[in-house]
Amino acid sequence: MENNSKMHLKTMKNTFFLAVAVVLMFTRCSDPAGMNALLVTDQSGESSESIKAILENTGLFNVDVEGATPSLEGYDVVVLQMENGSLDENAKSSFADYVDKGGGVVVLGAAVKNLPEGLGNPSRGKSNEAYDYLVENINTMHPITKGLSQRWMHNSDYLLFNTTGIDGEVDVLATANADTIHGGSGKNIPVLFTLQSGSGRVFVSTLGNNAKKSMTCVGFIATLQRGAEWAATGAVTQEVSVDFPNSVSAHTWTSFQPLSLDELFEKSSTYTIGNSKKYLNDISQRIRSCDGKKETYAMYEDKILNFLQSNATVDSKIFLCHELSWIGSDKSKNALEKLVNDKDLSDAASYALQRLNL
Amino acid sequence: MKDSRRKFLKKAVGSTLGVLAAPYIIPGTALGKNGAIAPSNRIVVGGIGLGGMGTGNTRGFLSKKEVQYVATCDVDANHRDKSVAMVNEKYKNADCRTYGDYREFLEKEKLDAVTIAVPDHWHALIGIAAANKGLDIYGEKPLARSIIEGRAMVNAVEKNKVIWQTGSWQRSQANFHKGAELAFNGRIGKIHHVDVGLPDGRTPIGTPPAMPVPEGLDWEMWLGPAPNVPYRGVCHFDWRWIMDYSGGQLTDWAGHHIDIAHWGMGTERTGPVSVEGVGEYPREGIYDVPVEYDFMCTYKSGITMRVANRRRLKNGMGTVWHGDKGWVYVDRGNTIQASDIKILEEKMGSGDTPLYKSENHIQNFLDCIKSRKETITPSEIALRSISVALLGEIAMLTGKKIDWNPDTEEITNNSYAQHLLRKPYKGPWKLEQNA
Repeated sequence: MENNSKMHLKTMKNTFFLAVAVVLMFTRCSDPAGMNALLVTDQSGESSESIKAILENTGLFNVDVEGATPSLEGYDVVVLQMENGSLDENAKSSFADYVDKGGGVVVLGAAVKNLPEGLGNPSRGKSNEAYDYLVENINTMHPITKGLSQRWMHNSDYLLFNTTGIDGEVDVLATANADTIHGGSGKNIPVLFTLQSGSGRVFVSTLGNNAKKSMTCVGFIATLQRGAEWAATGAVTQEVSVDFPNSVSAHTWTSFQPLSLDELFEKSSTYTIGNSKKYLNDISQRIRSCDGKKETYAMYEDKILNFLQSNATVDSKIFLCHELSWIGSDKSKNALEKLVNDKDLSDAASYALQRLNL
Repeated sequence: MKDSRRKFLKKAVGSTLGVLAAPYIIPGTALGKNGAIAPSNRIVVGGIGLGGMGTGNTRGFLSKKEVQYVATCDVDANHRDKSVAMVNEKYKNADCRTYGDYREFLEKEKLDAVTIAVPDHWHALIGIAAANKGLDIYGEKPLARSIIEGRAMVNAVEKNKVIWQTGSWQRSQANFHKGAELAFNGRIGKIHHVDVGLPDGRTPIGTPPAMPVPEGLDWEMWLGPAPNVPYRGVCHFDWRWIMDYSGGQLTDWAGHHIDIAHWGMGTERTGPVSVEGVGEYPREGIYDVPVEYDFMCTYKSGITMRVANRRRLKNGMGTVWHGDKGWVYVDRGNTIQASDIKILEEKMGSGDTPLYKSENHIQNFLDCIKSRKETITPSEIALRSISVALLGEIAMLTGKKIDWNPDTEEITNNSYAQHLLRKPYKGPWKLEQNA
């Protein structure tokens, strides 16, 4: 009997500890900024602040920023941004130790020159100008690239030729074509890749060499955010944004995070044909990517109906009448019937009504 | 005169006790001295739309000795001038008449048949008007810009009992015929999947400035039922990249490789039961059709068909039927391949069902005008080919899986997507729905 109750007590204790452990585990996982990231940078101002903001916007990391010779202890991931100089031998050796012991590292842009054994040879130069170039994810099953558009337009950047020819030595996730017009060899060269060293993980992105223009690219932001999480944990939990660029058009987030729907409507309100219609197309893309629930379409409908009553431009209203033509309810029909007599919106209202009355 | 001859032809065919193959071609005594058919006994043809495709088609019709080509119609004076010169050069006379408005053309000309090669947004209005005039029609693919228009066109063709041939000329090529026939007759076993590769989309060009309409072009008429927009230099050919007029490479080519796929699958008079996929749309500029597209259709039998731009598919362009005993692949350039060469070498046997055979697409149309038989690509089949692309377009535009009832032609799971079956018209243009 006594033994039995001792056993019972022991089991209860174990269960308790297990439960605590599980709770702690979940607490850690659900703590949005539960991981520590260190940005080692030789940049000050906008360039390093951009990277810090991008990492923080994941909600996963508390970010410290350090100069050249940091202590890497206690960090889940270290991001290396080094556009000018190189790491000294001591720093290189502490990086190597850190990675060998299981640390995660992200190497950005020109910092590839710090990779071992000439993996990022700086003497190979870069494209003769910054331009929008197509990135092709050649490994679409890696946690970093899984779910992203396979081919996506990167915004206004210099293409580094540093990584030419390293394909066999690393796990290449994505390439870009170093076309001859821009001074390249015509070959596809790695722009996103990973390295394994000891038990640690290294993610390299050679993108982001044209200051804010290239760093605001949603493709740059998303791959950095995903790469940082992967380097830290070996997995990626972040969802892919509907704004992730496709193969046709680059997409930027000027504040390193998506615009709210209201901001999109606000920015769309000045559209006239011939000027950028990206914000309107972003609204279309949000509608297209929505959950398809009645209340969601109703929310978009209400916003468009308000927009039609606002002092937004005729061209922007015509554009959004097209969206109303399929997501609208009876509420839209009533509003559109009134607009049939509007000198500017008559055709667009009639267009939408023909569909809604189907 | 002409009308009464047509009526006689139709009546004569109707009175041959169902023997529809009786040609009406005038006996040898009525032929000209050199064996040519006397002009008064030829099939009188006119053409609406004399751009790239229209010119090619006209050349094809002019090469047929039983055709008398008498008039052209185009909203662009340059096209009118060139087409008239081409026709007159052929006949060594100055008789070809030309029009800027298809309504006047149809009213004044006494034709047997008409060829239509206009931008997609005009297909339904002109096709239905021609059918209502009792004309036999060689119409360019795709049948229509929307499924609702396409059904209205089929109704008009059937109500008026006119012959319709779609410009899906691949059906009259030996390799496509053979591939479809092999697939249809189980030579690769039970088909479980089909890949259809169509061209990659066009790179956007931004928004060119509004500019003066070129002399001779009736821009208002060119737009017709489409929304009013200023002329920006995008008109002939490049209308394909703007959704008000076309669905891009996807809808432009549906009448070829999707059409061929359906032929071999035995689904040419029905359609998928669900469609799901993604399109990549430009964020800037006036070109707004998807540059990349990739969607999966499922048919009632469980067969799946993937339709995508060529870059996304292993075989690129063309149609591949995959069966449980092998595959057959067809593409332009007389391409036909199979998982085993024996599949291609075996002859069709008595137990097989031969597919409709035509060796020349225009000749097939002319033969059917005489026989009053169905062409190799009648309007119903063309509607089913373009419906796949148009349902793909809706699935991509809504970002949702579409369940489709091919019998009632309704989207059954998404009342929002259902609205997109209609392409609205700008007034005063109206679609004659129950033609």
